[in-house]
Amino acid sequence: MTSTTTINTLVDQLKANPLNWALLAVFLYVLRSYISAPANAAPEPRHPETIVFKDYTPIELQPYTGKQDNGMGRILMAVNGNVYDVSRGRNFYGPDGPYGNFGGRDASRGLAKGSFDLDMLTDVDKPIDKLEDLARDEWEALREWEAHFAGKYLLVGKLVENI
Amino acid sequence: MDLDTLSFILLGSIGAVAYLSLNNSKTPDVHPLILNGQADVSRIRNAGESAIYRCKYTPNGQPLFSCPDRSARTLYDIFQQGGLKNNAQANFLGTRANGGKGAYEWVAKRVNNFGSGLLNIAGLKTKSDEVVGIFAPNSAAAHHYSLVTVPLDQHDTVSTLTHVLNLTGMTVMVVSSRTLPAALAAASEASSRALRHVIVIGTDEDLRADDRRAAEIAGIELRSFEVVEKAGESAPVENVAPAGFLAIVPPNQKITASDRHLSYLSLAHVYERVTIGVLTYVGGSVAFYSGDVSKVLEDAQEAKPTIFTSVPKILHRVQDQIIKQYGDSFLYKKGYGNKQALLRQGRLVNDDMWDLLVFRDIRTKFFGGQVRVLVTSADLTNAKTTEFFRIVLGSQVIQGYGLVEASAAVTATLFNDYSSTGAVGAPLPCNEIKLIDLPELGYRAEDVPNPRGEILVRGHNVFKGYLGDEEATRKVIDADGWLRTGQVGEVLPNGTIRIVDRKENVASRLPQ
Repeated sequence: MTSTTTINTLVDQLKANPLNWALLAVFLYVLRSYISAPANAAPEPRHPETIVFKDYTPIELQPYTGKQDNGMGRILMAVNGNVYDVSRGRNFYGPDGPYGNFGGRDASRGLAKGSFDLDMLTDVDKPIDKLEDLARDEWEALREWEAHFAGKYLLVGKLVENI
Repeated sequence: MDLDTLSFILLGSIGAVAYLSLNNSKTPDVHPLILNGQADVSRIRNAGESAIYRCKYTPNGQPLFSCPDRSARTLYDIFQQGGLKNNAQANFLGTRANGGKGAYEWVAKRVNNFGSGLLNIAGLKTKSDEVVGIFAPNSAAAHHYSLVTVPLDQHDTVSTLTHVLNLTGMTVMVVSSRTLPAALAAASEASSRALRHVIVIGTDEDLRADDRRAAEIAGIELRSFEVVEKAGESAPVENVAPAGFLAIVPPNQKITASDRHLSYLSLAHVYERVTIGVLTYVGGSVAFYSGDVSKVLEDAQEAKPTIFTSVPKILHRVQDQIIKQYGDSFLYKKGYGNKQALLRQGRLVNDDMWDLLVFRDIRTKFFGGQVRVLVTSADLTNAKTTEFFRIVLGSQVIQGYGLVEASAAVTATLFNDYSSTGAVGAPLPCNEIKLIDLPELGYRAEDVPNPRGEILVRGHNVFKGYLGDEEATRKVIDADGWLRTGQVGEVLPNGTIRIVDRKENVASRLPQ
């Protein structure tokens, strides 16, 4: 058989047999992936975000309710003198959450008494709530809440008096 | 639907191309994402400081790595464990003189004998503050012993020796016959008359008459090593932690008992002691050089080390030599270019055509042909050297940054990280690092794009303090345990550190 006859035979076989179409497609794909360079697009490395640990006065703390930055801002909360970043719990402590009142404020009294009412919060211009009139079981509740926060959220600062 | 000729042809072609693809996978040695995050970064930082960076294996919140094994806490334990238990017959220390033999057992016996000889003759008490000085070139005999040792470099001047004698009040010193005159001179000059015994390596015949006389004048008892060795048993005390490095070696490149190291850097520097410690722990062998640094490459040819530690000065010299000898040949230039392209893609090869033609020859002639890891200290003057050696040797080149005050190593580059940006790697698992603002030099932790500042180190490899100098110690280690290194660094986004500048306040040097 001459070469032209061979080629003609092969072409006829290609036209006739559907299996050959599939095999041809697979062959072209494998060939293409062998020839072309691998897609090696690793993203550029970036420095991760870090938060500066510092002292917050009640007035400084107040803006961090989560409403800032178009509703994407950080949410900070003070519990017993420690300031925690609770942005992960936006569902609870964000502006629309059930405990949204606590965002940017000292939540100690509210957590101790188990209430989320506005009258649990002290005004930011007044001195920090000294929690002197809490009963023993309320103190225990506060300590439990504090442990919960310390384990779940990041400690980012301390609450200090307004000068 | 049947298989006709064309089907078979296509099937065969698919099989062939698939086989070729599998064999020629052009993927890098390690996934780029791993190289993107080489350090664990703390979430909070103090004002005026950067975040705290740690090794990925000991992230923030976990304890730092302190020892590879709970049973190996002192150098003595490391020796017992690594060498003695696993393969007592294997070669441990060798020199050209004794034909490269020196099994762990043999060394153990000599160590025991010498140690107890010291106790008996020199009246030293174990586990006390008394120190023994070792003032000799690296040699199998000057290796570590019990009690606290103070190594002195063979090139130290008499004034350095005098200072050390005064400061430590040492009563015993081990010397070699070459260093003996300097030792005796220092002893007579030192104001501390505590030095009582000088032990010379070798036998009694090696002690020359005028040395004996000089010793008598100084009121010192001169003894030969051999004599001291012929007595009882020892007791261990020392405390160095060399194994933070072992933890970051990937499992397929582990340092094992078949590794060998050529020891030529001064044992007075903790860098070399740490390397020998690492090899003792795994049960590898250590060959000691013949005493002349310029002949190191010849020693390497004979000893065939697998791990080669070096300093940038020596590597630059070797690099110049290699380029002078081979740099003009066409094959070399072509091969270098090819391998460099591969390296940029993240692939280190040492068995392709160019190695066969050009580089294998260089390897055998210059380093003994078996080197698989080249360890060097931070190369601040020529960032291309590490790339050069990766290409020519076809082996991993690890750059470490460290200082004497922190047991020689603080960060080390990762295996399989082939970048040559001059970064010296991520922190080791045994310590953590942060940068603090240096406003007087213009470096701040809040700089963009990368935080910069003075490097501070804290961890298990930081030293306890300068001997007898509380004030200097306080200046260098702060109340939280952070050691000020005096080097200014920059943290790159992938978690590695690059040394940028130097602040002159610390009495330490990189091993140069």
